[in-house]
Amino acid sequence: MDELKEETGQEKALSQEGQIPLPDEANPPSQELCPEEYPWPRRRPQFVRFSRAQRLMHLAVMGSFLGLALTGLPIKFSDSEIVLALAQYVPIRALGLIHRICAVVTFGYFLGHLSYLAWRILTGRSRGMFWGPDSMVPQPKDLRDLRDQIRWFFFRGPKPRFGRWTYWEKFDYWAVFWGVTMIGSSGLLLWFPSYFAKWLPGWVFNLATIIHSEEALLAMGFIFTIHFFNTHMRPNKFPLDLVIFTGRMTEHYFREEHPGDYERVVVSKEVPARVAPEVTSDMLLVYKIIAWTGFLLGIGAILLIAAAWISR
Amino acid sequence: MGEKGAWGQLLGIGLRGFVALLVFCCLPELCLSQAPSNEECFMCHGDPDLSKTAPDGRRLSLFVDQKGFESSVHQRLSCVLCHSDIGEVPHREGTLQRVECGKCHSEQATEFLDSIHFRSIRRGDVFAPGCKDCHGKHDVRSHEDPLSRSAKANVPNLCGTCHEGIKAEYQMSYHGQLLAQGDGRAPGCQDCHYSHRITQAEGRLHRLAQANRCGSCHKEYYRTFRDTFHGKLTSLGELAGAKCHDCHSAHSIFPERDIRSTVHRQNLLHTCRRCHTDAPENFISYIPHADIHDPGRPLLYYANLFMVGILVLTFGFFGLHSLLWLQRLTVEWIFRKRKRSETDG
Repeated sequence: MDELKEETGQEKALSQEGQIPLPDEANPPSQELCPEEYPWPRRRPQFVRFSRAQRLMHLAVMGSFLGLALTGLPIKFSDSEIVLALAQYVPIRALGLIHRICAVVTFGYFLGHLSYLAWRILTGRSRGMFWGPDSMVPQPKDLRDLRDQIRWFFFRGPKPRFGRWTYWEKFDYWAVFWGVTMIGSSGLLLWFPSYFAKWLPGWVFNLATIIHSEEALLAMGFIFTIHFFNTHMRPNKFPLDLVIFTGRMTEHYFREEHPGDYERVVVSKEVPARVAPEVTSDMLLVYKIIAWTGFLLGIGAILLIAAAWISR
Repeated sequence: MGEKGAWGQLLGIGLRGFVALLVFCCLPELCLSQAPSNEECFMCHGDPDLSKTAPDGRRLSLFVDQKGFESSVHQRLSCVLCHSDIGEVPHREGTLQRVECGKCHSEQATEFLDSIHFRSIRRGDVFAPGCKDCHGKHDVRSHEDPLSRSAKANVPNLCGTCHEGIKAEYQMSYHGQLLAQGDGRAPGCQDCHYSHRITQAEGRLHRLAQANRCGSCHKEYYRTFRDTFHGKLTSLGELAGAKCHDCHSAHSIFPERDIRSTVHRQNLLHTCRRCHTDAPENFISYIPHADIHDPGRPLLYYANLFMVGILVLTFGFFGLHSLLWLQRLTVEWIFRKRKRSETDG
């Protein structure tokens, strides 16, 4: 408990010193932060965390992943009574079709992202891409953050001051590379066996089946429990964090979740702040519907996995 | 007077009781006195020359072999139990009612109603067999009797009277050879097609359930089959997945080492191509009954172990990470709440 007191005391001290202005949401950011467009009528300015392309990317990943998961689950757990009972009402061929459509979407965003990265490198836009606070590359700070986070879990130190991307967010990012490579390549093999068997021995399909199935279980389990907890369900974000859908965060959120980046953007002004108006209530409703649908489907999938596991 | 009257009463009761007992004991004879006995039936039907002319002019023999009947499983039954529309001898001429086996054998009859044989009869197929075509008429024997047509060893011949080609295939096959050698474990026709609810072999349900029937003996192959994509599709009710008979053939089943087998190395590619029409030669090194838990297949065994390892490590680390995080935030929440209530107070 002492650490807690210390920590809250520390934070207070910081804000008292004036290093972190605007401690609460009620006060809008200064005009300096959002030069031209401010003030937007009735909509408070917020900090931009994700660009439109990044939000679309997340939607593509999310939609295709849910599609793949829900249509692949019956095959994975075809030895479960519950799955067999449900499968009676579902045309299996339709599931196969949806699975393949979602696979195409997956290959699409994956190759799209790789080409984007290649384009940035080839056209000299790769500054900060491989190292530094804006990079997705794991760096010594991430290890230190992990160590400090674990210390914080055990009340042995203050909460680490995360930068723009936390270590678990970087893990999520790289996990998609690993996952799509493993599941995507094995899935492609299994989709066109006659074609790939021209070069590959037949037992490769045995191997591909194991990898596809186990890696998919890992991916589903990870996304629907660990990712959901880290980004949505943990008590200070419960139930859903809409930042990946709206792309915008309040100043309070910025300061709480990414204090390192906040300092860079707001305090020391090393990096120009990206600001945008708060999303309209209509759009917020749309985002909420999308987010909740995905969230509940994911929870449904994990419950189905649990039930199938038990009723095997 | 009184004394005599008492004796008279007693005598009366005794007499009435005797008559009642007599009537009771003879009741079956009294009631069935009209029904002819088997002996009476055989007086006429024991004659090998007894015949009648059918409406279409054919001569129909009405001879019943008494020896055959008396060695049948029905030997103790009365003729009129089945031919129940005959009440006296001599009986009226003309067509008698069809014998209904289902009156006693209701379970078998109910199953038979769903069979492809009965559905063919109902469609008007004159070749479709009913009870008597397989079990005989008067010389019905139990299937446990080795002389019975429906005895396990004789069933292939019985079914083969119509299904000649399949009988030839079957008798050549490993199962057929085993059966011919008297191995009781070998499956006969009825083990896959059932005795009475003979399902249509091309039917969806029959094909989807084939693995269960093969699997009742080949348990290990059944388990590994269900682990494959072929088996999973079949479990989910999708016919596109290969089932036992799609690779091993339905009746010409031989061990893998036998050149006649559809899964012999030389024939395997052809077998795969029945579904995977453009399968290249490498296809045959696919392991259709792979057991990933068998260290004898190191590649698959260790691949699976590796994947399970990643699974355990990832969930172990992040599971713990999340739980610790949850407890940290919960403690903080309780702490803040208490602090707030203190300051409020």
